[in-house]
Amino acid sequence: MNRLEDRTVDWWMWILVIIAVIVIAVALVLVVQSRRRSGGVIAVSDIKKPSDPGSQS
Amino acid sequence: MSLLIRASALTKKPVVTLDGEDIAQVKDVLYEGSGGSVIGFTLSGRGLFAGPKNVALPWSEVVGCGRDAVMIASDQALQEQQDLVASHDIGERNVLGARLVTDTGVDLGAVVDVIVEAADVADVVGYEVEASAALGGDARNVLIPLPDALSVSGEALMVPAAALDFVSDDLAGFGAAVDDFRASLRGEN
Repeated sequence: MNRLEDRTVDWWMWILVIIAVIVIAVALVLVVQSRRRSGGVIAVSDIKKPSDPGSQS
Repeated sequence: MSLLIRASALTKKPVVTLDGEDIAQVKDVLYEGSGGSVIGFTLSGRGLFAGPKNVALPWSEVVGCGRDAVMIASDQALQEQQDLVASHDIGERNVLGARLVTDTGVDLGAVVDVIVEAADVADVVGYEVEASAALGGDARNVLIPLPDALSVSGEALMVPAAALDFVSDDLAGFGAAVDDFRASLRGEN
């Protein structure tokens, strides 16, 4: 009987581990995506004008 | 007619064609470091897993810039980012967070936003800074007008000390402050 209870606990533990892994993975994806897509204001010194040679690459 | 907007109000806006196709969203606002003209936008994709795109949107191709979207004629308006800006390390030139310093060496605070005057052409006309002790501190943001010619180099951004006389607390009336500041630099006042 005791062995059966232990196995039940083990089963729930694995469910919790899987849920925790999914939550962490989703959180990481959201953090990385928000950083990749976060905006800024960029001061540029080397603009390519349409008349610049080599601007049509 | 021109409109003053914060650059942060442009970032993350969807880019929509006149056919109603939602093709991207604004990532970065690019402007000319010496003159202040807005060149265009870098873009990122729509959707959860979409990242930055290699294409950019020149300001000249923007048909309308409304409260909810940036409108373009078609996806033909987009061009390769390398065709707009020569360098590949533009992410390192983000002015947000940079210190704003007067030409007399007074630290005005960290730049938290950039004010853009949008019309047929768009220009950067001011910085919003988290006020340093020199501007009274107390964790408030103030708007500093910029001259026609900017100075953007290295870590700090430079403004003439005379800009301190034209500081505003909000966008209402800031356009007049910019005009007055630039007129004073030209010696008109």
